[in-house]
Amino acid sequence: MAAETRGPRRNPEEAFNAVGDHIGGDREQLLSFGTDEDLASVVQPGSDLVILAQVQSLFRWAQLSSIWPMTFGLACCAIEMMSAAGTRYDLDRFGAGAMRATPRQSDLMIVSGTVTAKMATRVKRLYDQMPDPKWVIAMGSCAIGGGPYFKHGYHVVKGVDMMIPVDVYVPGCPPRPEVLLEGLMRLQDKIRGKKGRLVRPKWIDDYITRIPD
Amino acid sequence: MILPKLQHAPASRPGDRARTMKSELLHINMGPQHPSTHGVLRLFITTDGEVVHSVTPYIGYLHRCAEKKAEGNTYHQYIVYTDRMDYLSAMNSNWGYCMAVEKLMEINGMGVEIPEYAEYVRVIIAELNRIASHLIAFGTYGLDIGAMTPFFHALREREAILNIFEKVCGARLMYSYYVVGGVKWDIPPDALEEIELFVKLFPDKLREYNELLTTNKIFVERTANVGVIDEDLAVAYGCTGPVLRGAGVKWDLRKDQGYSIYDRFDFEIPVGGGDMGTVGDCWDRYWVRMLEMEQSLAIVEQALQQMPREGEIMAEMPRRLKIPNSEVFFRSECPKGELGFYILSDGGDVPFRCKVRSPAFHNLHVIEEVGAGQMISDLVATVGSLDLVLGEIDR
Amino acid sequence: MTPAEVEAGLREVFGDRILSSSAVEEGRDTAWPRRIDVAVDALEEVCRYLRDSQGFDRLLCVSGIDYEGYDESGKGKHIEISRYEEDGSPTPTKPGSGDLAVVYHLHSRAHGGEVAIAARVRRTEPKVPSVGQVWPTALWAERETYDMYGIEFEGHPDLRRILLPEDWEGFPLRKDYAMPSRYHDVPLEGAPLAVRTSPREVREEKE
Repeated sequence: MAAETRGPRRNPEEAFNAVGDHIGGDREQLLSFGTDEDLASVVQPGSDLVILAQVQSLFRWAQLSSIWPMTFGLACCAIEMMSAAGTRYDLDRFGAGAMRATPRQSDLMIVSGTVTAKMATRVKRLYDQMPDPKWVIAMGSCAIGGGPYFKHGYHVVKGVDMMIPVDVYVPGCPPRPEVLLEGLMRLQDKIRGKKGRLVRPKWIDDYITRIPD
Repeated sequence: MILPKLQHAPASRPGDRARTMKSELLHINMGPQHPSTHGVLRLFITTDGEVVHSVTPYIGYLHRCAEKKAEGNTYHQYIVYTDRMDYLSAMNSNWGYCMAVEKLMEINGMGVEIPEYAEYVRVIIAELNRIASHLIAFGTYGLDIGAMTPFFHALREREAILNIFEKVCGARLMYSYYVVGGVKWDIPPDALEEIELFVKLFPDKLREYNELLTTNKIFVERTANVGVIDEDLAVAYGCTGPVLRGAGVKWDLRKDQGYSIYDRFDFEIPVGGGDMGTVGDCWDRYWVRMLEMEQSLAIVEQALQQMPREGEIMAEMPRRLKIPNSEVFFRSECPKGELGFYILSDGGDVPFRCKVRSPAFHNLHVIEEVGAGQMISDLVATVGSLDLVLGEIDR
Repeated sequence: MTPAEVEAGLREVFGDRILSSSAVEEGRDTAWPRRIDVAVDALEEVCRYLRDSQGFDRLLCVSGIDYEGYDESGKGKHIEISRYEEDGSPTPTKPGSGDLAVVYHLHSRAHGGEVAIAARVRRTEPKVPSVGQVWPTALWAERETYDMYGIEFEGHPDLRRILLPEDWEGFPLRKDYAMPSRYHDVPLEGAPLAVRTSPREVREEKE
């Protein structure tokens, strides 16, 4: 890796482009590591087979590419989670198909369904048993905020985020598997370090203006 | 009638030999987060070595106050909560509730006549959902026993059914498609074509499943003669559906009570015959479900032929349903068993009380009796064969 | 076996203890189902008699009912929505005074009859004999009724809550139930925890 002669400084982005062209595939998605420019400059120009990366970014890349979710079905949404892992949607394409039955081997907890008062302490305990780094997806209206059981739901915790911190909220009752996949990708973005963004589609503005006071 | 005695560890069970060795009993908690409990069921097991000495189910981890919700929602609004009870066969739950309300209206002289076309639509969709529910039962039972492949095969065909439902009502899991007085939407023509295609293709798939699992040597060894629920036990514990029929009892509300238009179709009630072992073992319950899928398919096929080409999908209904003081208890045959709704009306637009008779609740109770004396691995097979849905047990 | 025969048999054996009997569908006396109100102390005997002599071999369902407000021929009374004091404790609602009831739905495979046996008890002492010795399936169903209504079943071997946690306070399906905002350290309503930020964001904030 050490270069004998230091060539002119090369823009790290260019270097990665070259690497990306060489190995093919979606470079943006796979290899957007942040690199130190000084470090990049020690690389011999033209040696396209070297990838420079911060260790942290590399680890994050590894983490986001092999998220192991816990087999944790609570209610109806678990069926859609099963479908997402099943034949048509195949969660495994995104490296998240290795469902673990124990919290001690998993990175991701998909809270798929209603959290009740009786179950809440168990959810908390399972979360505590997961090794760091760990992430949580709140899947479905019930896990987000009580959903259809918000009113009169004497035994329903109105949102799992009152018990454990949540990274990604996946709305729907139940969310379609596509939405869960989207939620997974947003989680990958988050692990990668991309900032979240709030996009308000145009139709919402249109809709709001049409609601009478 | 001979009733089973209520004790957890009857004499001369496999555990007895171990017990003479004076080993200590071990308490094991299975669940609520456990891959083979089909949701958030917790089984508290006392074991003697590997033999289960007693098993106590703890439920309620998914108690979502559905009966309280009924007292705060109008008759129409409550349909969405029936979806979420048995979420594998939401159409059947919808239908059961709608029929209960229709019966209640009929008692009070407000009866509506469901259009014939709508009845056919109801039957077709409900039977398709029965197949979808049994497919999940088949797939996850394979997973419990240790066979991964059938699950993916089952999900493939289930997706085909969900595709149809999506075209019919726009949802994959929670349909709210049945309304009091009929159905919400008409079946679009392309969905009808798809149903016809499904009816044509599915028998082949069933054959495939049977080759994969039904006569598989390991599967038979794991399920035959395991978890035997005989007729007396099943009746005493209020078991219904495939659990009761697996015990050799020919009892199906579609035929014996004859609701809706089921008298127009020619179908059979499959019962367990102990083909691989004893009558009422896990294999029988599994086999009854496989046969029921065939029968459901036959019903769909006949309904497609008999169905009028077009018609009304909904009867004329009052917009605001107010029902005077009266009560009704109506049961319908769901994939899990007899789903009953006991509705008490008080003249308002919300039910005064709506009790749900959940089939899986009673089916699960029998595990206290059957589970004692088994091996732990057999307990998993037995729980799987009951086809539990916790949303319905806990409501 | 017709409804009239079943009723006649019951009246002959139990006499006054059969309080009232009506076809649920008014005006159709010959039809099932039929609701029979019995005295509380006769409940278990009636059930045993119906099982042994009349062929009602299946217990379908056990339901509790809180008749609070029902007899005023209610006008669609909605249940109370939980209200809270400043400190988060629920505002006590007006205690109810209506009767409680248990309804057993029986079914006969032999002759297809379906009958509802009901027993009404005072709210102040809700005690009903258990029929767990007649149909084992009643054991769980009665536990559920106890859980939701606080009706105590005498002679039940294992009367505990079944759906709710064992130390839950109150009986939720009673009409005067006030919903809690907390169960031990589980908040049932309230504000969520802080949303966790990603490591990158934390780092940027530090800079």
